[in-house]
Amino acid sequence: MSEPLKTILCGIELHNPLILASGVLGLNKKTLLLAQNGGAGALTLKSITIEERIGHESPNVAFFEGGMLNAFGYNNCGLKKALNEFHDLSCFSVPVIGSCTAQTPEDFAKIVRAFDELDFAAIELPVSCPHTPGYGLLSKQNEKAFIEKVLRKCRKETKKPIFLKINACLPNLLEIATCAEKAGADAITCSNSFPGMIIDINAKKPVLSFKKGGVSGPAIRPMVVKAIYEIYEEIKIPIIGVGGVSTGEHAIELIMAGASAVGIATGVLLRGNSVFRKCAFEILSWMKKHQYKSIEELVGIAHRNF
Amino acid sequence: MRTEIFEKNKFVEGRILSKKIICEDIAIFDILLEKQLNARPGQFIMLWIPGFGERPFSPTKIGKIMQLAVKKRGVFTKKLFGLEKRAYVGVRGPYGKPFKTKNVKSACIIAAGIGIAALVRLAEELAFLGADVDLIYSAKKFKQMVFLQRLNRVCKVRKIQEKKCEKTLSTLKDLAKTKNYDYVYCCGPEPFMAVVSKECKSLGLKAQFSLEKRIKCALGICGCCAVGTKLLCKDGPVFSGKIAEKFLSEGIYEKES
Repeated sequence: MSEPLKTILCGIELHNPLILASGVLGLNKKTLLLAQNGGAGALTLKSITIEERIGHESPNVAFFEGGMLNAFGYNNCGLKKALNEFHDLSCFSVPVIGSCTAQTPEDFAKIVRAFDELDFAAIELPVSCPHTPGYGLLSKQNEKAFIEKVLRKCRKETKKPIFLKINACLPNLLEIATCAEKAGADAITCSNSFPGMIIDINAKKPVLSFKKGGVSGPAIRPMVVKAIYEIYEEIKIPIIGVGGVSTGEHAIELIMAGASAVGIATGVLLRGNSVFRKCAFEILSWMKKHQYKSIEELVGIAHRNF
Repeated sequence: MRTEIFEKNKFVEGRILSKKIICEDIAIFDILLEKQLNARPGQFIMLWIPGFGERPFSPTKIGKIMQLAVKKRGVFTKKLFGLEKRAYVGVRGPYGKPFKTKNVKSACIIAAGIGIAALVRLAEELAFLGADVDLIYSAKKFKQMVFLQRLNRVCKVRKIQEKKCEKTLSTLKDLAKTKNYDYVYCCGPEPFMAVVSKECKSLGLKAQFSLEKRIKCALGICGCCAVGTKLLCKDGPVFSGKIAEKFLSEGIYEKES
């Protein structure tokens, strides 16, 4: 991969700023490798919880013209098996970001302590899942007091960079981002999928078995761009933009709003595992055409007065 | 951007037209679709019972009326058996890789029990393409067998009643003495396919197997159906060669309630 896309995120070197976002292909090492082979600059695990979780009954996905809705319900193998699975990360040539979630600040800290022993480049803490009871938005983990507690406890357990994953749908977004920065987060991941529902009018029922889910895909990109733009003006720590990116142009848009790196999830469905390589190529072509030598020059460029 | 992929994966409206009971736990469902879905032999569709759940099935007929052959074996199929005529079901698909049928002149299809559902259209396609097809159909009881009339029209059917697979293996061995099969195609319970896989290897026959695992997104993104570096929903469910051998010898199927 060419140098112009080299990105330094919280001291972690990425060959391009395109990260496999949490939730897609992240259940084990072998599926993560599919995204590495597709050209991803870094890889994020699907979130691990202390106990194994089966997740929600299917359908777990539903579709509409603007993207998709999902409610998997944090299906994962649990901490014990995850420690075994991710014990040796030598098969990866790009940084791997450990993602974990819990119901209490104490449990967050417990997993972070365990993750600290492994070779993860950073640890991501989602407090913003829209479809799992006991977690994220359904358990008010988006409140300032909870986020402060989680970060203060986790900060004590690791020196690795901590990314806090929030949801751009929240009205108190800026307050949360500022509080996270103060409480020790090293970066903000914005955004998780948006709360939503799809009803099949012929069945007269919500499509997802859990009824509510998280909206992702092209439909959410304008909201995510606005959220990143606003957060960028409030905080100094980097932002990892996630939401509706499937082309290099989309990624550039998030970067111009203020994202230092960009996550891709639903984009994998649209363009296959090589979506990362395709986007990287498209970013490079755009940079060449517009005579930019480093992707860093574009971060937050939409805020500047020319 | 190929956003039509979102439209393509929406559920198509289906109505249960009829349920033909074959024996106490096997039935054939005709489902009238609002829009026809195409599926090659070996591919699958996702069937949704609103408010209940979603599972993969191999259609045994496609067209405006899609047909499924179903064995009652868990909560979902039990619910399906209980649906009234005209009940709504959602259907999306097709998904997965089909059986390879190109340049096949001679083939042996081995079905065990309801595994025939994934193979009946394959037999018809192979015959249509001009291949000479033998079919070994193993079941615990003769009365559980389905599609015999359809199958007899396109291939030579050898019906076997057995508890395990001894007679199937000896039949395959006998047939392989005189026939020069390009492929063996097999679908049935995993232990059955594992034994067939071993036998094919020792007879030097190339084989394709339709494997089964719980599928969630069906699109190759959630990773729930991963086996090694393969995603069953996208790279399978049909596997052949060393990969199939490996999956079958290790076992990938997880039973559900």
